[in-house]
Parts: sequence; structure tokens; C-alpha cells
Amino acid sequence: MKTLEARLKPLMIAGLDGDARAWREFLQQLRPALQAYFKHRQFHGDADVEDLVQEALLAIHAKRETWRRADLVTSWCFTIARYKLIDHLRKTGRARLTPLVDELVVETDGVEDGAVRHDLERLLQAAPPRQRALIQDVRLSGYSLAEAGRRAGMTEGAAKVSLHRALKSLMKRVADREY
Amino acid sequence: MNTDDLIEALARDARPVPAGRAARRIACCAALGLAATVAVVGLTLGYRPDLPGAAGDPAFVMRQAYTLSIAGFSAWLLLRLGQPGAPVRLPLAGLAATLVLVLGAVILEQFALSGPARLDAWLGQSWRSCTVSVGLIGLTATPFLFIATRRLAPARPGLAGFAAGLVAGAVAASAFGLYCTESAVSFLASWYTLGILATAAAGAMVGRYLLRW
Repeated sequence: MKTLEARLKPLMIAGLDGDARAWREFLQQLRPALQAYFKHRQFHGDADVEDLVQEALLAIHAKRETWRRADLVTSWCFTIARYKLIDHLRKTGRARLTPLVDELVVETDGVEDGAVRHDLERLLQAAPPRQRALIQDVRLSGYSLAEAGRRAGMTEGAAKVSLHRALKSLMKRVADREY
Repeated sequence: MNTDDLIEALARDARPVPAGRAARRIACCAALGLAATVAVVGLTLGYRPDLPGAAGDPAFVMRQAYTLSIAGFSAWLLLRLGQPGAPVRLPLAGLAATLVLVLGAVILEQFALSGPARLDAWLGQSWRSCTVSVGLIGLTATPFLFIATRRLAPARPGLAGFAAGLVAGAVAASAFGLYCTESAVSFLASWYTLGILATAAAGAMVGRYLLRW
């Protein structure tokens, strides 16, 4: 099978000469490639991906005079796609990106992370075992309250109250140590 | 709108695009900018009285060669910045070569002079007004270049604004050269260049917002 570049280039040239069929074919061939491109770099669901594909197709159509025959059609197309992606991320705001950053922080296993974990473990040693298990399950391992309660042998309501108390006494201990 | 319908609509709109249209548009708008700045200089400062004969003055020729080279290479750079994926090496090399040549001429000039004559060559009679005039006149050429650039697809709008400002500043410097009677290369290389850069900086600031697409 021919590369995307080899397929697109003659269609692009014919499209620039005003051949509507070639231009339709060009846009149709490009569409799945753009979808794949945005899907890999996009995090808010398929609606956004399709919006971006349309934005990119529109720009590629409107700016087709900026392609130089000496350049690769694909690199021209994906430079436009990247510009539209960056523009989109700027418009939708950084707020929607923050959760992603949080996930990354949780996943990193740096030196600092290890130090924090060490402190945390020392602090938790001082808590009663049932409370300690609860804090570890809910706040560190990501179990739901109901699941953690079941693991500790209590109802969800009891787990909630117990966790609240545990965190409160933990905070107090930290505060006492610091002042 | 569904993507299939969009593709259909775009295909129906596939009119022929003549090759080199983007380049012609930039050249045309740069020429309009030059005409506008020449008119502004004529209306505000007036041309130097010996103008037709000044073509034989080496300082005048040097000045026009410098400013028009900067304008030409910057326009080329602007075009390339507006074409996604196009290389910018050649126009940048052209700009660099122009600067190196002028710098060489400055060094020769400063070596040929001595003592206070060096400072006189550098500051001339009008260093205070030259940069400001070039910068301000450049602003009248900037809109033409922005109009041309908005039809392109600059992936870095701020940088494209800078290049558009360079072109505007350089044509303004060329027009200002029809008024100015300074003859030293050191003067040209400092105050003209500073004025061109001032216009370019303004272009970069405005371009970040106006040249998005």
C-alpha cells in the first residue's frame, strides 16, 4: 500500500487546479489520519475529536494556497492540525487539563515521593490499626468508602465517621508536632 | 455539522488556486507599504532637496541597498513562516549575510576614522530623531503586511508578526532615507536598524493576537 504522502500529493495538486473530485478524495483520505492524530492527543471524548477534525479540514481547505510543492503534503497538513490542537487547548482553558497533571503526579515515583511516603507511613504507625487500614484504603489506594468499610468489617456510614475521626486526629498530631 | 457534509461542501468550493499567489500577495502588500511610507515621509518631513541627484551618492545607495535587502529577506521569511512546514533557513541566512556585510562596513569605517570623528560618524546630527521616525513611519506600513499575513497560516503568530514588522520597518527606513542626509555607515547600522527592530517588536506583540487563524 502506498504511503499517505504518495496518495495525498497528486490529489492535492489536482485539487489546487480546481478538480473537485480530487479534492473530495483528498479530504476523505485525510480524515481518518486526522482522527487518529487528535485521538492520540485529546482527552475529552470523541465529540472534541470530531470538532477538531472539522476545524482542521476547514483550515486545510481555506489555507491550501500556503502549501509549497517542494514541501511534504503530510507535514503541511499535520502542522496545521497541531496548530488547531494547540488553539483548541488554549480556548478550552487549562482548567480541564489539571486533572491530567494530577494523575501524572500520582504516577511518578520520584525521590521526593519516596520521602513523603516515608513520613506518611511513620505518621500512620501511630494510628489505631483499623483506622490506619481505612485511611490507607480510601485516601491512598483509592477504594470507595463502601469497599473500604467492607474490608474493615463495617458499614459505609460507620467507615465514613471512622475515617473522619482518624483524619482529624492525624491532623492534630501533625499540627502538634509542627508548633 | 456532520463531517461528510462538510467535506462535500468544501469539495464543491474547490476553485483553482494559482501557484505563487501567497508570494505575490506578500510582495504586493510590501510594495503598498513602501508607497504609503514614501507618501508619509513626503507629507511630513519632506524629501531631501537633492533627491534625483542623490542616486550618485554612495551613502544613499548603501542605505537603500541595506534597507531594501532587509525588507526583501524579511518578506521572504514572512512568507515561509506563513507556509506550514516550509523551511526558513534561506531567508534567515540572507538576513544574517546582510547584517554581516553592514557590520563589516562599520568596522572599516571606524578603522578609517580616529578620535572624535568616530563618535561623530556614529551619532551624526540626527540620531535622536532617526530611530523614532523610522519606528513611527513603520507603523503606517504594518497594516498592509498584516492583511497579507492573515491570509497565510503562520503556526507561530508572534514570530510572523515580528517578521511582518521587520518588513514594515525596513520599507519605512528606505522611505526615511529619502529625507535623511546622514552619510555614515555606522549611523545607518545603528539607528536605522534600531528603528526597524522597534517596528518588528510592535508587530510581534500585536501579531500574537491578530495573526491567529
